[in-house]
Parts: sequence; structure tokens; C-alpha cells
Amino acid sequence: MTRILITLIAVAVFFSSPVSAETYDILQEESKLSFTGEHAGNAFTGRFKDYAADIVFDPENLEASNAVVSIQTASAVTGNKMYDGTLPNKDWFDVKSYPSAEFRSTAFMKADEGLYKVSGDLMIKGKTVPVSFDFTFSEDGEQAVVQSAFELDRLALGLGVESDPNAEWVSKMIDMTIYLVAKPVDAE
Amino acid sequence: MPNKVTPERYNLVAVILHWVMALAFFGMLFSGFLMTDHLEFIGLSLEQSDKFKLFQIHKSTGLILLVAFILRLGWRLFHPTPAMPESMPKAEKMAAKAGHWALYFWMFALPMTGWVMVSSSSYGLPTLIYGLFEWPHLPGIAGNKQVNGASSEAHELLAYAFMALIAGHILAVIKHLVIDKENLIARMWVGKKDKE
Repeated sequence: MTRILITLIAVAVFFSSPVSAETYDILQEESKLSFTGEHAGNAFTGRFKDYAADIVFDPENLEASNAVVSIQTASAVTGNKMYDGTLPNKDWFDVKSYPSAEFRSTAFMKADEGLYKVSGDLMIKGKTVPVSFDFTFSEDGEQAVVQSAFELDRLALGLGVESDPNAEWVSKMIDMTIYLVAKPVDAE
Repeated sequence: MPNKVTPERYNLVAVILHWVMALAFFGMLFSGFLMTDHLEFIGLSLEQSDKFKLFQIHKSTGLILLVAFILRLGWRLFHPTPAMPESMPKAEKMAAKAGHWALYFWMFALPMTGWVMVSSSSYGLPTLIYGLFEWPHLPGIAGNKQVNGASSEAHELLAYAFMALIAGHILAVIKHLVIDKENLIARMWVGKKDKE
């Protein structure tokens, strides 16, 4: 019974996905999702160690492209004990109440050759914030690489609003860097 | 009065604790006012990064002082102190006693309110003693604005009052030295008492 159900789901999923768009699996080892900001005039850099992504992307069929990235907020590390001890707190990621943040694409657009723009919703700490950023996409048949750098306003995301609303200590803008290496999932 | 066990002077441990803590408290008062922009009127202010570092040093030292206070109180309770000069009027003796216990209370209340402050602060920064190990926050008050506001207020007022107490303490020593010709500092120092 279970087997039949799985088969049915698999068939349903297969036929519901756009035929031409490629589904990708992220190679976590080679990919990096990092953030950079300033605290008390000193730069800090951190990254999310744990995230999962469902990406369907085809440069020729942006309509059918779709990305859902789910990030475990507790996996953020900076290597600085002071920051790592603070980030999980209520005023920052509030990992107890909101263990994950999620980005869901709403539209893909082509900006230039190899350069695309994605718009979507970032769901973080119970808020939904529209976010869009440019990224490059390249593939060599074996794997695809997505790269992007953009800024996020931490206050708009509800981060550090209580303790530092005037960005007296922590910069308001946080630089995000995305470097994703993905492998196409072969659809049989 | 237990005459037989009343020593001439404070014992070595008490002397060391007195001076080390005195120095530390001066540093705490100075750093506390400096890092909260209270010394701008004499042209002293800090860059944000130095301010942050000083905050961490202040927190670390404050908690070490809390531990030192507990040791000092314990030592004080179980070791006799030298008698006050015979010539001192009763009222002065009582004032001295009250002043000394007030100083003890302040040495406890200052770090304690500081600890409440960091534990209830919305910053939620961990307290890393000189960056070496983590000191716990007091439980149940994380991000509590009322508690944070009250303890911050108390910490500041206590600091001002502490300065007044210290000034009184020093003035009393000077009074004994100049008016009563009694050098009481010798009792709170090491080596031979040069009088008698």
C-alpha cells in the first residue's frame, strides 16, 4: 500500500513539474550562504550551515522556474562567541519560536546575459518581507553555479529591533552572499 | 570587647583585599562613567568599538568583584579587626561602623545590580569573563524592560552614592590623621606599624 502511494506521489510530482525546467540539488559542501555586517565598527562574517533548497530553474523558461530555500536560523555561526551567543536570542533570530526562515520565489526575470533577477517573499520571525536580488547562473552540464550579493535591511526583517533600533552597534544593512553549487537531478 | 584577640592591625588578607578592591572599584567607577558617555564634559569619549570592549571588561571585572566581595565578607566575619582608637567619641565610632558596613553593602549592591542589568538587557549578550569563560545570566528576566530599567537606574544611583561614601571614607582617614594625629592607614598596610 505504502509503495503504491509513493509511486503515485512520484508520478504526480513528475507530471506536475514543468517538463523543460531542471530540478537541482544543492551541493552543501561546496555552497556557501553567508552574511557580513559591522558591529561596533568591526566587520563580522557568518554563514548558515544548515539550509535546504528546492530549486527548479531554466534560463529559457523562467516562468516555470521556482525556488524555495529554507534556512535553519540556529545554524548561523560567526566564529565569535559573543555574536554566536547573541544571534539565537529573541531579539535576533529567536530560534526557539522560529527555527527556520524561508525564501519563496514569486518571479524570475532576465536582466542580462547570464544575469537574472528573482523576486520573492522572505518569511522570517513570522513576518513576510518581499525581497528581490540579482544573481548569475552558469552551468557546464555537470553542475550549475548561482552567485549573488545583495543587501538586506535587518530592521525590516525584525532583527535587533528591540536592542539596537538605531543601528548604534550593529549595522542596519547586512550584506548577503550566496554561492550555490547545484547538480541537476536526472528525471528519468 | 574581646580584648585578648583584638589585633593591632588588619591581617594581610584583609589588607590585600582592601587595596586590590579599592583600585578595582576606582577603575570600575571610571570605566562605568566613561563607557556610558558621562565623561564627555571633560572631553573623554570612546569610539564604539572601544566602548564595546570596555563594556566587556567592566562586566568581567564587576563579576570578579562580586566573588571577591563574598570572600572578603566571609574573611571579615571570621577574623577580628583592630579596635577603634580609644579617643574616638561613641558617635564617631558608630558612624565609622555604619560607614564600613555601608561600604560592604555597596560593594555587593553595585555588582549585583550590574548582573541584573546584563541579565535583563535586550542586547542579550553573553557575559564572557575576559573572553575566557561564560558567566551565566540570572534566570527569568531576559529582555525584561522593567527589570532592566530599574536595575540600570539603581546601578547608576548606587555609583554616585558610592563615590560619596568613598569620599567620606577618605575624609575620615584625613580627619584622624590631621585632627586626631592618628595614622589609621598603617593598620590597613603591610610591614611594621611605625607608631609606638
